[in-house]
Amino acid sequence: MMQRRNFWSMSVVFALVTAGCTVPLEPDSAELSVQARRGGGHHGGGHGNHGRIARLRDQIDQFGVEVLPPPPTPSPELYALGQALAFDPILSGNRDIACLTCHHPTLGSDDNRPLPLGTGASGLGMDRSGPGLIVPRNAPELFNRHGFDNMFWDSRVRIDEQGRFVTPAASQLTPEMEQVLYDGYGALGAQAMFPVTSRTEMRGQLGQSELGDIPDMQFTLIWNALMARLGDIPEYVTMFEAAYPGTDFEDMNFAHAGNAIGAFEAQSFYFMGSPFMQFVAGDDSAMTAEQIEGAIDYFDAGCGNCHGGPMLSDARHHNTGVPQIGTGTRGGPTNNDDFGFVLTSGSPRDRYAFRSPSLHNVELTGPWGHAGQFGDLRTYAEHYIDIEDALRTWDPYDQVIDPALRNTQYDNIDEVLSTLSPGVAGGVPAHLISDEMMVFFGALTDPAAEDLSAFVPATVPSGLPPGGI
Amino acid sequence: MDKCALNQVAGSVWRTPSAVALAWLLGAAPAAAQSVNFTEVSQDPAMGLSYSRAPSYSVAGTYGLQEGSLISPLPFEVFAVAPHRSQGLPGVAILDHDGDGDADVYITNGPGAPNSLFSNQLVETGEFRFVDVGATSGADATAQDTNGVCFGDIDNDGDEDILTLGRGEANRLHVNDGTGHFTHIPMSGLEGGTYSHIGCSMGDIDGDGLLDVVVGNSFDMSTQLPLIVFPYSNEPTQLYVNQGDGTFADVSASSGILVMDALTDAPPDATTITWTIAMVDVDLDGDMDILQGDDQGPVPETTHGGWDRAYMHVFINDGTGHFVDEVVNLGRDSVASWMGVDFADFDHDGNLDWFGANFGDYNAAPLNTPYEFHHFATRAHFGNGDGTFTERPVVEPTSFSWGTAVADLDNDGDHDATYHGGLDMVMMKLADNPGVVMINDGDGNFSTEIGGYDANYSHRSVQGLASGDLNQDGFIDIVTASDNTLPYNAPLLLSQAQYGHKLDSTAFWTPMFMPDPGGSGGFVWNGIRLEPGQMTMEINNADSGNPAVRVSATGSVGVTTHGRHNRGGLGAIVTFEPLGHHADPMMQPITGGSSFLSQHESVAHFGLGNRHSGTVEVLWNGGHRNRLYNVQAGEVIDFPEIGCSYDTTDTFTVYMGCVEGELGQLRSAGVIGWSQYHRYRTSMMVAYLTH
Repeated sequence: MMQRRNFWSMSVVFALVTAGCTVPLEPDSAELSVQARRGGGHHGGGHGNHGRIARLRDQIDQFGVEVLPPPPTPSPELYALGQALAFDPILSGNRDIACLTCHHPTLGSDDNRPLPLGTGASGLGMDRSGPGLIVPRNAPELFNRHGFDNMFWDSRVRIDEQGRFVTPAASQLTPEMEQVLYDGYGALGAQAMFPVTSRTEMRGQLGQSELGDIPDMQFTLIWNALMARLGDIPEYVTMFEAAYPGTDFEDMNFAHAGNAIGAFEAQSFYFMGSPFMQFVAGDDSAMTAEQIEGAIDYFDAGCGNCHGGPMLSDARHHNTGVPQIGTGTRGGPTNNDDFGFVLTSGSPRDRYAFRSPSLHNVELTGPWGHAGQFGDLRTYAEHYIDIEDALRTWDPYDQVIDPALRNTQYDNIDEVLSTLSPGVAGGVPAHLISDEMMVFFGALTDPAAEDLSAFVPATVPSGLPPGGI
Repeated sequence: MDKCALNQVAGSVWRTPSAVALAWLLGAAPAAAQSVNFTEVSQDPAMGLSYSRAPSYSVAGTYGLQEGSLISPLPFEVFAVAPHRSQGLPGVAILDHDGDGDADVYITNGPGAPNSLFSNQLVETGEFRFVDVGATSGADATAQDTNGVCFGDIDNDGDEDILTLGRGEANRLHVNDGTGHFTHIPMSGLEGGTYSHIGCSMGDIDGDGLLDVVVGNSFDMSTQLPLIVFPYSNEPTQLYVNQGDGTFADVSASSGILVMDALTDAPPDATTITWTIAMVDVDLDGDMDILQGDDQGPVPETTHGGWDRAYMHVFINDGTGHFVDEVVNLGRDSVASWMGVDFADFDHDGNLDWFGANFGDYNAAPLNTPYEFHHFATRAHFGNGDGTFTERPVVEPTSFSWGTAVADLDNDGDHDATYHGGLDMVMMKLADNPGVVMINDGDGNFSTEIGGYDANYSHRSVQGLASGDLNQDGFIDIVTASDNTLPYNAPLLLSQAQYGHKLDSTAFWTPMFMPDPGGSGGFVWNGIRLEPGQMTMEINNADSGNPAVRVSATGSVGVTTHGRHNRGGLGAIVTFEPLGHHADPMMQPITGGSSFLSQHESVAHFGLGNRHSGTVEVLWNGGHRNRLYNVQAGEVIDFPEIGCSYDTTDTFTVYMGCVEGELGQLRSAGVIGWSQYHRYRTSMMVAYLTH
């Protein structure tokens, strides 16, 4: 049990944090009848909602929410190369899974699973099955990904404050590779170089392929082997040299591939047309009054502290007290714990902290959480009311949509609770996790993002099934 | 927020009458242990704390191996002959070098770089800032590849002198002229030849009032072979007796310290690898004993077919400067890899206990060495009052550790501990210590806390560590120095050893060589080159509100008729007994070098928890005891040796005659004033009458 002194000190910290970044909670907001505030389905601008609109605009300013600028437009050749590589199973050791298998356009740019099934399995989304190993973390969606300089749930690929690449490959990411990425799509391109090195995700095991036979941590060998595979396919050689004019394929490295994948992802998955972002852009009528009330609740609850800014994410790492399920990342005696950002930062203050996900198109990207622990978005939002109670009473049979994972919760609850991020430890007033907030989450969806099947190519140069499906 | 302002606020609050009154109102119940957290200030340029460890010359050998492996992969055996610790072994000392009343910080450096002496400006300017006067101090030892450091008033002239230890070269004695400027004494007798001198400690071993010196040595660090292969061919400990004329005589052979007990199958002249050494009156009989912590390294224990070569040897002094190793007889016979040591009475039973830094529990797997949980745990040993020590069952895993400090970090009335560490093994770097605080529950049971330190220690490799109250806010701060820093992009791999403990999450190691991609079976460098080590200054955030009493000791040898203790007070055992129900006495020695490569501030620090006053007692060399009653929360006492013991069998008249004579001489010498004369006289009288 938290000591009273600690409770108050944490409350003070929380108050200081919010005072520095947000509009203090208005006492009257708790008193207002939801019905009185609710404007039904009417659009906000035309129904005398000016006071509420003004308030929301203040909050938007307060939390730095603005429209994310588009990514640099790639050349058609670079885009085509990236699209082909993203869907081509040739990049996996067993030639059975592509990058986009778990970030599929028809599934909201992820896989709709709590945890992905890696190489060895077949199928798509929840229909995917077979002997593939479970990947330890939820497959993130790809929306607006160029807005991040740090990739993965633990930011293990990132560009640091000094503008340097930090990756698991350390110096194996050569200056030549870095230059390709600096000139191109930065951390997003670098990110695409690493799922291919994971045995679970794409590379496979010893004895399964020439990629699987390479020892772990030998990134250079893996990337060279992949370039050798691609070089055996004349169409790819042509595509690479078209995408990077003036450079022979023999002089290229896997950063050229990763950068192309990044270009495709950035260009294809840039969506800023949600009602909320239209509102942010200045259209008072873009959201209904109910959505506006939900947005106000969202910011009143402090959600914007971690889910503000252009990405609706602060790109920082927080321990929000969520349960741990699945295989874990080799933490703890059974290797099923996942210590989070500390594995990258080295700081014990980052234990069980994960990067705040972007909430753009959030309704399309479930299940939610770093291990897909929440199958219901409202339950996830309500988790913040009383985190200790929510964590201790979390029901996998209610929330985990993959039955195979329902008995995999790792008992790290006390340790997780002991390191909660101060900004969430104090909880959120229950009335702010409102019906209107749920409606507001719908206003974060860009209608154009709901059907992205056009991004799936009919074929890929290897002749393998696109996406491995 | 400006750190200075922050600390001044903290410092002013805890001394206020209202704070004391609040503590009184809180009642007599013992204070609960509290979390400890720090703010690292050395990265703030305004603090004036710039330090970068210059590597040893042997780093060229390490670089040669790294780059050569890219041409011709290295067989595994080559790593055994790689240079050891080529980034150096920085030590830390916290001392008042200029006698101005605030604590300064001395950190050793490698060849070509002057040792740093960060002079605290708190008293001079009122601002908590530092100026590095190392290069011009005369104690710069720029040409020396300096390992450990210790200090003490070796000539009893009222200031602190400094001894710096050389890596494969001579030690250097730097004598203070009283103003904070030092002169190197080239022929002091402490040079010690070309051993890899590690740590030193000062104390009076023969009762003549002069500080003697013990130096712990390791092995020729040009290769790692002695650590890995040769069990007993290392460099012996050296003991020096102060001649009183500025020179020292090597009495190692005649003193008994080379005769070690309990070594398995060891030849008569066996020498061990010593990482930590300390002089302390461990059996509280009024003379200085020596604890020597040795390293088992990867050599298997006897039970695994190897040799038991490493213990915390406990050399008991017979009072004349002759020692007998009582490692087995004292109940202290388990093999380990001791790296650092410090002292206090953890369980308030009136006996001195010790806390030993050790190899930890996370690295046996990557090093593929036989291992049994707890054998290499960092842990405390408890004095039993009859000269023996007892361990308690180890219930938590611990991290690899070098520098350690025992201190009441939360001022709750018991001594906690902290330890840091990391190790460059050439092939890999051990990085499993994130900075650990061990909180005492008041009965000597410790619980691990991580995350309280501000700096990122997974990327550092802390060696030296010293404690002291640098900003004078009544809470203990910690200074560390690392020999190397992991580059920003170095991967951290999780140890295979996982126990379901909070330390699991930071049990890292970093490979620096990897199997040859060409399949030769050799190893090639992965491009990760360690960067120079850095310092940290972690200022205790002092949010418990608990006050403290701080006690330094000043010996009176040469000042009073019966004074026997060295002027700097090293070796004094200080006890503080709070006033009130359930008031547990605390004990802390003032040691002249302990931890690893380092020496703490020469002040005994006692947190009061909810208490507001108590009694200070000092046990001096020679065995006499002095007491001072009614010491109030927040007081800083410089306790002068009064050469009369309240537990004497003399008559009251004779005893008080002694007391008044001694106090009169102290007053005449300007050591104390009239008010202190009366205060000590009254206390000494009460002590005699009530003991």
